[in-house]
Amino acid sequence: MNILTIPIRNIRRKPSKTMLLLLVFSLGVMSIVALYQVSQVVGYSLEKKLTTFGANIVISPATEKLSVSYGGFQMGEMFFEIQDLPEETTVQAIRAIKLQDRISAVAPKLVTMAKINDIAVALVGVRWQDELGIKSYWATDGSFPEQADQILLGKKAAAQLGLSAGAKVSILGKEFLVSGTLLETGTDDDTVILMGLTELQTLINKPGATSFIEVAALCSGCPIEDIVSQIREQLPNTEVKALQNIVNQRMASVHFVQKLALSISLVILVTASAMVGLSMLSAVNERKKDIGILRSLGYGKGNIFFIICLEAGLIGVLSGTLGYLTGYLSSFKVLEYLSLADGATPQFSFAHLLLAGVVFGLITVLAALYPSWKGAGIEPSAALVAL
Amino acid sequence: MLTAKNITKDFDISGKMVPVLKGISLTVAEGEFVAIVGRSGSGKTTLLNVLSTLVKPDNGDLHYLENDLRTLSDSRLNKLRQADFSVIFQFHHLLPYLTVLENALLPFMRSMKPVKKEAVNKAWQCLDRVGLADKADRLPGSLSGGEQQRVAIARALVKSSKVLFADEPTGSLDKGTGEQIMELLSALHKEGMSVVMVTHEPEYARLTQRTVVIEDGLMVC
Repeated sequence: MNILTIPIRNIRRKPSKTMLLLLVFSLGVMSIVALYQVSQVVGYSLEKKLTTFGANIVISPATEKLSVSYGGFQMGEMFFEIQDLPEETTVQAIRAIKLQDRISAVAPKLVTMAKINDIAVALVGVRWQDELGIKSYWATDGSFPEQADQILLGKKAAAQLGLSAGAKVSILGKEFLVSGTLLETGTDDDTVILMGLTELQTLINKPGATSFIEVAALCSGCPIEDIVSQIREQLPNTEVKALQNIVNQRMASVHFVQKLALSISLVILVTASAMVGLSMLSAVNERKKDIGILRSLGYGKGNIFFIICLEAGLIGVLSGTLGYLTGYLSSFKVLEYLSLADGATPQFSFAHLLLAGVVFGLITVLAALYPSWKGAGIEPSAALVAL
Repeated sequence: MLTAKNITKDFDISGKMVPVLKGISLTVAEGEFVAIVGRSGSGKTTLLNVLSTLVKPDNGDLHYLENDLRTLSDSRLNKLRQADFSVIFQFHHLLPYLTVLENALLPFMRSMKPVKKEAVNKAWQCLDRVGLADKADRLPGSLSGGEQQRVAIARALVKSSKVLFADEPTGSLDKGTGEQIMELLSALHKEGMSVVMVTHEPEYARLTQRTVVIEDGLMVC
């Protein structure tokens, strides 16, 4: 028996009222937790979908460049020691960073120049599965290459070469079949010929070489700089660049979903807290008699304040715990109903469960501060009127 | 031990100040059993509440031992109510959601520290004394009025109070039960406790050592 006995017994005295209050606040907590879980999953799914619209990190070999002019003749920028990146070890290194779970796609590329029918054109070797993973917006008038001897032409390159789907073309001494032409993308892809990476590596006798690697990383939950610095640690002799404008655009979309959820949660929280506050205020008025008895027994204002806060806090802790569990479970149903999960699932965490209990306990205590202060301020003489 | 001089108290009733105590002086000696009698509305309950520090007087002097009760801080007043003073009321004097034992131990439940074993043992002894040990786990609602009053007396016993203020302790009880309560109060007085009791029943007032009659906010004898 101690001071906790008083609020605990009082809560048990009016089970229907307590249950109603618990239900209201638990529903509030449940909505907040469900919204949080849904926003996290939706944010993750959204970001994952956005990664299919292009990479946000580019890894290329470290190069030295120099502006050269001699005798008034400008030779432009000269690059020294352009080295290729070894495909296997570089991809493995990227996949081995601490934040490897944030790496959504890794797309290596090899770039070279060739002349076809005396027209200079850029050849880009790609891993089709990885490339299509980050360029879901690509569309073709034919089909994407499925065989090693098939190539895909950019819209402008096809027009320049006068080739279309089904045509055969000889590149660096080997014959390839044009499987299709990319519909205009408005990017550099319009001007190049795309083919399998292994084929290009073989054609130019650079087995296992890549010119650069594009990475699509999920940035919610950790800044892109962390991912970039971890890749830099793994690949010290490379240049790792984050495409900040792409990152920012994507995060704006993800943050919009999360901010929306946060705003709704705040409204729910304020409403639920106001209800707890009002309920405690009415409880204080109802319990003037109890306060009078306690004051006559020497309970100070601090004791009365503490008892009322404890009562609210207990309801908050219970609601927080109950609300977290029901919110977590209901988020599955919400995602299933809205078909938004896209493979991701809400995450249960004991730490979050405890945190919910503590945080909502504190919030109810805050909501009960005014009623508690009012209750504590009741003079024994005023409380005696109720006796 | 307890001295009140020229005590006045007005109450605001519908915006009008109504004088309830108009200059009452009273002394309660250590171990004395005093009855305050008077008609309804005469001010006897207000006087008891002033003496027990539950109501602050507007004017006059109020002393308990060396303490000037009018200037005592809130915390010192609380200490006084915790240790020296006990009050029992005519109605609803127990917390309905606590058991009989918990109600008896209520004065010791002010902190997160569990109530000491000695206090629990003493509470059992006191409940035994008032004949309620077998009902220690019951809630007040399941007890009769007399039994509830005895729990309040047991609570005063557990505290080892020096002064017991009783506001019409037999007012809501039948004659037989009222007599039992009076026997208990008399016994406590004989053991050295000062008792100040408000009553409107002359036969119970006669059992005390001194009767103070209040009429229209003034002490008439």
